[in-house]
Amino acid sequence: MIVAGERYGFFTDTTLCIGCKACEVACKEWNTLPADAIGITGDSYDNTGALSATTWRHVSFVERLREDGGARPTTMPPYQSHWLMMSDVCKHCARAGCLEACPTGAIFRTEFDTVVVQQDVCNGCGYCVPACPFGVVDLNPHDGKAHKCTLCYDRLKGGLEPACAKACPTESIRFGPLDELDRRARRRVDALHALGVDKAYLYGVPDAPGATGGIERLNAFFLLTERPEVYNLPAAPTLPSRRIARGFVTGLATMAALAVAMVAAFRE
Amino acid sequence: MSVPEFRSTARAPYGRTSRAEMPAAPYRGDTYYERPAIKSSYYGHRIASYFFLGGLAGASQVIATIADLVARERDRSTVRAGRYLALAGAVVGPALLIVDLHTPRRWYNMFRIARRTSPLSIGTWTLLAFGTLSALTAAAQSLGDATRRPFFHGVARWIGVPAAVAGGVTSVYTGTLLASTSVPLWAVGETVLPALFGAAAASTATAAMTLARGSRARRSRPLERLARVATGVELLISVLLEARWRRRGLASPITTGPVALAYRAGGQGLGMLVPLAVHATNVRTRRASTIAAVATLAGGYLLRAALVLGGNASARRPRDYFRWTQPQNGIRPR
Repeated sequence: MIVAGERYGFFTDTTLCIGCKACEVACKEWNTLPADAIGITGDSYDNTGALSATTWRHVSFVERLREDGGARPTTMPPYQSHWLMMSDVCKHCARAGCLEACPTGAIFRTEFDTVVVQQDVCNGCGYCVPACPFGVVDLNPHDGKAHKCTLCYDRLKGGLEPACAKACPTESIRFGPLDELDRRARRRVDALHALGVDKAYLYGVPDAPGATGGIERLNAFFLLTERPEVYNLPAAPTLPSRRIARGFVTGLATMAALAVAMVAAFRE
Repeated sequence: MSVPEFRSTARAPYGRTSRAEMPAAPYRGDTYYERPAIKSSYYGHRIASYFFLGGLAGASQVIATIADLVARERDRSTVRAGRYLALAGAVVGPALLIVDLHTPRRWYNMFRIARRTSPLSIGTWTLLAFGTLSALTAAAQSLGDATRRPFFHGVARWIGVPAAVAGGVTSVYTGTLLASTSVPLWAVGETVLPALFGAAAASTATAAMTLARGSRARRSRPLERLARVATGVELLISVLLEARWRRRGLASPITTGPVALAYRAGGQGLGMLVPLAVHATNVRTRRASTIAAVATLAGGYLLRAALVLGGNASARRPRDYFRWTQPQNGIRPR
């Protein structure tokens, strides 16, 4: 049962990802998102590149050789690489930079504690785009609106889990209530540590990397085995709105000082 | 079969995330195929023009109001120039913003909500107040000029006060708008950019008013004094800003390439050093003050354009973003 008022999210366990991109395809199919520019990036098996207005799941591929270190618990033959794969997605931040930046109220928090752009309200000002600390939301030049993952708001309304989680064959992507996901994630980290995968840690749970600088937590969080930058994630992002008050203080103080200079200049 | 290699390595910096503290490991320069970690803004010449015009208009209103309150009769032409410039900026500026929307026909959705966590929302309402008050002030000014009745000039004087307050906010909020994003070049200027925008607004407003007073008006010594002070302050703040960028290793998007030319030769050279040099020569001819004013205006626009484009370049550099988002940069979990 998916109930309004409960907090939902994704737990993406990168140690289970096999890079099949079923999540990308399921997302595109369900949300009728068009294909992006077809081409070869040269970046391992990643021809998707990045999240965009028309790509709401993106599987990243990091090919590592033995010299690079890594968590593969066996010796590797020469020329053999091992994979780090991660299905990236909108983090549906507990305090979301995009939502806070949105001047029209188009971006709102749903009854499932997810963050969604209302397409009938967005006027394409584009301020959410540089505001997002994770580079997720983007404008679509064809319709002039901002788009990103909705955590399948329509499916949740109908009592169904999001398309990507449904399609994931290894349950690397799990959908569920946050408290349940948190428990599951911590058990998984403990299990991996017991197996000797020392590097496993959670990205985006409270007080962990990713949930910094006022962001509190990421409703879509991850289990990683390398430092965040390897997956193109910031270690300690901050909430942009934190910088507003101090900016106004120094800005208006400067204007006040200049006003005093103006009074002095016009007197006499 | 054999000893797993990873066991012999030192404790992973991000292993066993403690609930109490953030792991702090030196950043090794890892990126994901050099791909940007954040998205750059879609802002370009229209937004840079708005920053220039909005700041100019806001500060013009401040200068006009203070000139009116302090100097009254002696600076009539300065007051008039300031009030009309403020109105012009308050009309053209928002038009530029609406044209820059990707769905311009929905511009009025900006007035659906007021949100203090969004500098854009703060700016929307500030601009609405500034535009309305500037229109009233300019209307009273023109009625006073046409009818020669002191009553209308008195009305302009007192509506000018709230108009000037809104103008002051209009001049600086754009700096906060850039700083309250995730773009490293802008974000590290959180306290400096709004101050720089305020000083640039004052210097460009002074220059525009000097030109707008017309060729037949007598030289305005107050405006010349003000130009020296505002431009000097602007130069000082731009030096502080650059020191901040360099300390964090984030300066290169604006100190290399064509953006650097716009920033150095345009923003700092034309906009600050040329006018300061002209004012320092003690040549008090009309031509000298015109040269200084035109240089200030050109530099004021190039400064904004360089900051906008430099920020877009900064967002495309994952290493800059990761360097800035290291835990040891004093970022606390909550």
